[in-house]
Amino acid sequence: MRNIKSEIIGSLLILLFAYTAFQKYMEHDTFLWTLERSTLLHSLATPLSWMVPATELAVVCLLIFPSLRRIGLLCSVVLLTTFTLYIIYMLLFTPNLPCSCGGIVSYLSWKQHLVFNTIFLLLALYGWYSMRNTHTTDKNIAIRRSRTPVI
Amino acid sequence: MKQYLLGAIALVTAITLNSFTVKPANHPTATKNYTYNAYPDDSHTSDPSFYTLTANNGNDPLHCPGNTHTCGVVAQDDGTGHPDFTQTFTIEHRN
Repeated sequence: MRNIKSEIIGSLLILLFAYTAFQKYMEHDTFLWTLERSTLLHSLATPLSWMVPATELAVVCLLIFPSLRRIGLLCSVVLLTTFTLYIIYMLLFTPNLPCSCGGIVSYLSWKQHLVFNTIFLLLALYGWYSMRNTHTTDKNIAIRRSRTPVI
Repeated sequence: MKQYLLGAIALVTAITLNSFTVKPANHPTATKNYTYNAYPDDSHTSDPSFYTLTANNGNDPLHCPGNTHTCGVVAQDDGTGHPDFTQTFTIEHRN
């Protein structure tokens, strides 16, 4: 059964992750520069500067294929939760450092970024939850249909 | 194929948006290094006139090991050789 809600949410997440991942690769020097100045991540700046966009693109791949979308939505929840926790940390400890995110998203303040991420996190959670329900319903229908009729 | 349509549209849109995103001239990477001249007195840290560019027009790095007092700042230039505190900046500390 096609789940249009999770398809729309998946597409929004593809747009977000693909856009920011490509931006991070295209402006790699800027991304690395910001990570190097982060009190929390400076020691891991170089590997993270390659791994973060790579992870985002891997999640994009999972979200594109309908059979893998459910796990893609779950990975999006994990990724967005990590980013949100990082934003909370930055807000509390180093609010004067610019965001290391890519493209137009980097123009947001930390507080705006927190709201933006929370909205996408809730969307990903809702998408995953609605797919989980569809998956369960499909399974139940399949079980009911497979029963041998009693004559 | 219909199942891939929305995802494919999103991916193409992301790539297109990337092509039209221009890196701004005042991005944080366009910053310079400034030495704090009143070190270790931290009472003037918010006054730009107490900061001067490091050698090589602010391109030489700051030497600030530690985390006790303000030693310098990495910031954009305000046009007069001092840091612009209205933009984002990073404070460097020294013991």
